[in-house]
Amino acid sequence: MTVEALLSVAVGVLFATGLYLMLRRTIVRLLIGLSLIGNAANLLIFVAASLRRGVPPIAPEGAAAPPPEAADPLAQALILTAIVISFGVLGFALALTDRTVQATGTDDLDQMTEEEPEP
Amino acid sequence: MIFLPVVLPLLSAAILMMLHARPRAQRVASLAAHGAFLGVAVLLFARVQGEGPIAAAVGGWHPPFGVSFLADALSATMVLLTAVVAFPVAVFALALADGRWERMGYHPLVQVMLAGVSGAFLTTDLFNLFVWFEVTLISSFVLLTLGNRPAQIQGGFKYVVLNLLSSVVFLCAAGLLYGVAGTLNLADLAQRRIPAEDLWLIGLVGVLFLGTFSIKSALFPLFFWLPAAYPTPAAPVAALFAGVLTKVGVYAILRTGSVYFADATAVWTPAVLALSVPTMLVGVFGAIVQTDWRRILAFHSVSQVGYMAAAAGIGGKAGMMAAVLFMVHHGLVKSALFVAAGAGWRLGGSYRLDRLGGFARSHGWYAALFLTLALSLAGFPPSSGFAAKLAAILAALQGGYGWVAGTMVLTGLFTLFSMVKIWNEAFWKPAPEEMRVRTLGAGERFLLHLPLAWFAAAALGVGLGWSPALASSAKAGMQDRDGYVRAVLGDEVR
Repeated sequence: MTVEALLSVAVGVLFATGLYLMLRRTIVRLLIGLSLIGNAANLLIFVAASLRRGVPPIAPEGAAAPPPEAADPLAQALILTAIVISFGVLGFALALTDRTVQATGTDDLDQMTEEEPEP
Repeated sequence: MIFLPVVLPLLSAAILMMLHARPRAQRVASLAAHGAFLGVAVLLFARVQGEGPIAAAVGGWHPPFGVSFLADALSATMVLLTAVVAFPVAVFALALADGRWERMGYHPLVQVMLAGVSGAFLTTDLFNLFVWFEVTLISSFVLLTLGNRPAQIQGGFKYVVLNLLSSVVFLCAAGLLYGVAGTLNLADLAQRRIPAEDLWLIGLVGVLFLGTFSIKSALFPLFFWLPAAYPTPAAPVAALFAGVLTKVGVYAILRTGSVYFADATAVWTPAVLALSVPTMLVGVFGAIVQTDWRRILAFHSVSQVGYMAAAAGIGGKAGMMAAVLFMVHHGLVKSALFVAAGAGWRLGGSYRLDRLGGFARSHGWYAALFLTLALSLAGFPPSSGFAAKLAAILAALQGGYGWVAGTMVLTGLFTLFSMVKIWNEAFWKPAPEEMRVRTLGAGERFLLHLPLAWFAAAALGVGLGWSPALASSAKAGMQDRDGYVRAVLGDEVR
């Protein structure tokens, strides 16, 4: 089995697990599901964009572009950016979850029916 | 010059953060920052009008390798709209001068949000668009929950979870697109040839992007976060969100559709229409049963986004013009109506229509301004709403989508119904017994009326004479895909 096939399966499993957790009623499971799906997306970029051996993408002196057999660094740059952003957002979501549980007194999403906005 | 709409608000945010301990100085600085942003937006718009599109690449890395920005007529118009909406909202925030949410960082956060929105309007790279979306989102998350009331937290939670999900979908779409096409620069994408056996993948990616943008702009069926979230935050936050945030999603549909997806895949136009037509109806019918002022407005936001997205989906010159005109109109008028609702809450102490009344007699100017704006939303001539709706309906008829045009007319009728309901309840009926009208000082009254007058003047101005001007200006860099490609890539067009 190639690495690509293995990783594709891993992406699928991560998405399935994440979605399953997101459909549960507990708010914490929802968050764990979200973070799993985020990781699945990062792996997906990796698999879809560039997963092959190559030389470092450094242009030799005088050339305008790296050699054609070079690995593509952009996919990794995208994933790195995405990881940093999702880390920050997830941190905020965790804090908000804590506040939500405090404010509503429950961690069951079905109990969180909308309140009439305060006057 | 082109980076200023992003750099300036970030700089202002840093300065405002440092003034955290001095509320009075912070308020003055915030107003100055909004003024400077407005100035930059006007300059950028004037330069684009005069000299054509301006492009720039960050750090000298030329596109398609580096991140590049482009201000064409569409982008410059959107940045200008953002500034024209943000400034009066800042004045309105001064009128309320609520120290509680100001201490929680209202002023710097607004600047960060403006930076994110401007970045999203100016970038030419799809992944960079994702980053600006996130900048906007993070600041809007916090702005939405400023104040920590339970309803806010609950509305905010829905908003956060749905938007996180849409970010993940965006990432997947960007990754797949990069795998198929080898670039994420919109202009570079537009000129790449995709092999025929990969075309179905472009369709798939297009639908994924559309899904993301439709969550951001609150299209059917994933719109319900908007009516849950918009009626809850501090009054200026709601006004700013209603005017600016949903437009970012519609702008993304318009831009990616016109430059790339509408031509690249046959599913784009039917998919956009399939989402936007139900949006118009669901939004307007949802509003009918509401009795909370801001909830009515929030449901109407959903319905109006449907118009914009439908016009953007129809595409072509007429569709694009209609979408831009509608975004300008809605940005101005919906923010104004949220400001009016906030003013009503300040004066009458409630957002609930059954607890309000009599403003037509007690506050004549306020009532007149509200009526102007409400009739503009419903689409009465000579307001901006009339121009925008006419353009959208004509575009639908020209494109051969009679059923879309019919839905637009029907939705307009029900919009009028809701606006009349607000007028009858809050303005015309006698004030209920338990309503305590707050008497305000002359200064505060002035600060409450000023933003409304600004918006009403802008809406009438757009409706009266500026629609042809706007249309002619937007046509330069927008409808013309090759012009966009040339402006971004310069001489490197293959």
